[in-house]
Amino acid sequence: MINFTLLFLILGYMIVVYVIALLVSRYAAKNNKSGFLSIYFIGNRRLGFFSLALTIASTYASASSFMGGPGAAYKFGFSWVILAMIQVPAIFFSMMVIGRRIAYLANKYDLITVMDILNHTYNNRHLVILCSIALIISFFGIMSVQLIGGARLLQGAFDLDYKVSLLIFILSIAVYTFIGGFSVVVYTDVIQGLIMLVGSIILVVATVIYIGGLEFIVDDLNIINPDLLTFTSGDRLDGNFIISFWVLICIGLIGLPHTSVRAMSYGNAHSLYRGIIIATIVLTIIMFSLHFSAVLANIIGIVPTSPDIVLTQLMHVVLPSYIMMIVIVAPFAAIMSTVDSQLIQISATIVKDLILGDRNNLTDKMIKRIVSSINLILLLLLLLFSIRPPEMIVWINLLSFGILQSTFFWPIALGIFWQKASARGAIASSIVGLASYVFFTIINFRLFGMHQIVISLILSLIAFLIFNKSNFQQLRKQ
Amino acid sequence: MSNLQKSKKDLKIGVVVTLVYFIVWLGCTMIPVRVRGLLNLPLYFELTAIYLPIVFIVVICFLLLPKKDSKLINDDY
Repeated sequence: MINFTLLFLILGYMIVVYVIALLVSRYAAKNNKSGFLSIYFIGNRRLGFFSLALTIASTYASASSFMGGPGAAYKFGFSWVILAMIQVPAIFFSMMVIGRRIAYLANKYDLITVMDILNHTYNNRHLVILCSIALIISFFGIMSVQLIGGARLLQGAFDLDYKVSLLIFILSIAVYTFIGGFSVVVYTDVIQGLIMLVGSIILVVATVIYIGGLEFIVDDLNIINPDLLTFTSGDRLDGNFIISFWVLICIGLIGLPHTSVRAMSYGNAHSLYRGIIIATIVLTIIMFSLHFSAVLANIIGIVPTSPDIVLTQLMHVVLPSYIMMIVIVAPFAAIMSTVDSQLIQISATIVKDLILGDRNNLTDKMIKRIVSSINLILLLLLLLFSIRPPEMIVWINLLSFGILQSTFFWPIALGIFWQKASARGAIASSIVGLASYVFFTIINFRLFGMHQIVISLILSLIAFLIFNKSNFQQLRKQ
Repeated sequence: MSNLQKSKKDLKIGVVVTLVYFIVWLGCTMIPVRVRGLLNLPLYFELTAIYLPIVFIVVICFLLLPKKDSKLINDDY
């Protein structure tokens, strides 16, 4: 039977988000001095550190933090909790390495997208087109994972039809990305970040209380399956594979365009530093609570129909129904905040970098229309793509992360710091990185058991250095 | 100091602190499972999933909060 109370709760939540979006966008329109593109895509650089920190955390904490990740933690035990906790220094690392430089370039030269940064640094149209294509494909993958996850969650929680759930999700996202763009998404992300934070704390505390404290966890897990206690999950996971996640989900964040775009929205170094601290604290609490709770679900004896929905089932058991209603909107918050920011990024790339290019003769009104139509087309494509979902959604997510990182990592990292970096080196690095990542993933080759991203980042660095050098020798000859 | 110099200083802090975190993390994962920690969970787990993140957050607070650098990022090169 459909649980109507919960369904109304979710709908009510979406309406609240909608109203906020509407109010904020009207307010922003009143004070609008910059062009539409600048306000829409990066929120006009006027946001405080607290809101920005929460947007980083909530964009980053996506469906995989609520479903894929905890699902794996349920299956692999403590090993996957530790793997998830590798993300603790991720925001600090990426923002310290590229944050200040990117914020500076963005402010000084009025750059709006990551592609603007590449264009400014290398001034090469081929590189921009190559990177745009990688970005569109992988963002599409990440968004569809979010939507499939969200729809499965609705389906599981309310016994709704999968297609109906998918439609509800897509419609609600469509409604509020159409209204305001980044400045709206930022404010809704702040609310959603807080909901996730509170929801995950409630869940872990309730779960620990339910099983009677921390004291007997080890003994209980030992009886159920001693593998759940070990670092390699009883050799079900390769130690080197876990260690290589330091590259994929920590260091590699530099190569994720949705990280760098956050740095562009900072107005000064002061708020950047405070933002790093708040975002790290929020993300640490969310990651630990969710993954640890999922391991404990083993002790309670929860056997989910799919590992992805283990947390939803855990909530049903350990929380009183009125509290559960608050907590259950958290994964929806996570999914919506991730999808909407990525939708904006994709349309930014298509509109600014591929369609507009160097043309400056379009009015704000025309640009607004183009952005809206592209958002609409993207959502329709997503709907078509997600209607028949594959079994394991987590792997599409990691595949997309890898594609982005192998394409963007060195062109961004070397481009903003190394004045000798050339377009030729960057293009070679992107092509080699992307091609080797896709190739090694298809043939399932793992160097010393490490994730494919490690070898493809090494190869793309080598390619960058080789082609960059030959470019300089040529210049000297001329 | 120019933005490029400041950014390179940030870069060094970011890389060094993360590298130290990684090395300590790697060391902690080698502790055998049977060794228990304060919360009666395996010590390696308590260290890598609870204590290290807390220490890390305290360390970055000490590193970043005293910086009185509230100037706009768009100072000169």
